[in-house]
Amino acid sequence: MQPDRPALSDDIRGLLSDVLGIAQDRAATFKDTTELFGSLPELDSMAVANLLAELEDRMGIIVEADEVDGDMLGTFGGLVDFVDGKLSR
Amino acid sequence: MTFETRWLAALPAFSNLADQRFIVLILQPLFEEANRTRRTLALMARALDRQGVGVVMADLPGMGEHPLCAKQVGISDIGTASNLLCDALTSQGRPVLVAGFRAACLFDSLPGASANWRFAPEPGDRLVRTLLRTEMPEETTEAHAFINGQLVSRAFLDDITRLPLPNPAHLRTLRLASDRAEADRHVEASPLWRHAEPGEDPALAELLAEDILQWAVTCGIS
Repeated sequence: MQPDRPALSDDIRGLLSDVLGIAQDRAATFKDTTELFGSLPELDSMAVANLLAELEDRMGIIVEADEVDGDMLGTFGGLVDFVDGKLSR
Repeated sequence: MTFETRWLAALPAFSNLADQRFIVLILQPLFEEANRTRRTLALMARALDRQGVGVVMADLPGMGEHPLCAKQVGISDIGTASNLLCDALTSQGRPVLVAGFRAACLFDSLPGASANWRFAPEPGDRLVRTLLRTEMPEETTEAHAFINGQLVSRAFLDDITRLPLPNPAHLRTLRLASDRAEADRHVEASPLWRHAEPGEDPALAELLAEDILQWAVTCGIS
């Protein structure tokens, strides 16, 4: 069953904490408007590759190369929306 | 026993071999994932050593300290090297349990091995998907992809994409609790192989060592 959006947001906060090595209490402060790629120094191109791979493992989705853009990784809310949309299909 | 790095079957290997009752052959994750997990695997090796188990953790062709660089490696090099190493160990007359991690499990069905154990096995196509996400096109050539600061043969990437995970006879599989794929046991831990920097997880190392030991008992090789 697809998790509701708050639960999905918590899952993705946990995922970001795991992959980027940032403290859980810091990840817990991430809101929809929190900027990610370009603003989080931990999120370099290598980390993006690992983040996408971990998203695929945990969420059971496939992320195609042409789906990775500024909307998807620009903000925390954009990332949650993307995964939510994938799980809805 | 004392661990030392020495050459075994033409591979540089971290090992403690003496007169232990059986040997665990650790196949490390491939490429950058090996660096991110090595400290935890070394802790696991030491935990096994404290239980009187022989451990061999070798660097496969193109990986770690192996003199062959990734640019020159094909999947047959890794398969042949794994087979030769396992053969060299089983020829000593002691059972060998193969412990495969991540995509190294693609090469873990080795003649003569008594049992297999896996942690978070990754199919070849998933490995290549992740590798190619870090490809730098400006450094790439027709024959090689520039990935994680090194050239990797496109033939190798094509071959490993199509390589299925083997299905050895006595197999136990562990995965992370966050991984949806099927397993005999799911364990709570962070995916070290995804971390930006190499880290270590002593609790996970102990848990994995205990599970391997229990599997050896179940398979009658302890």
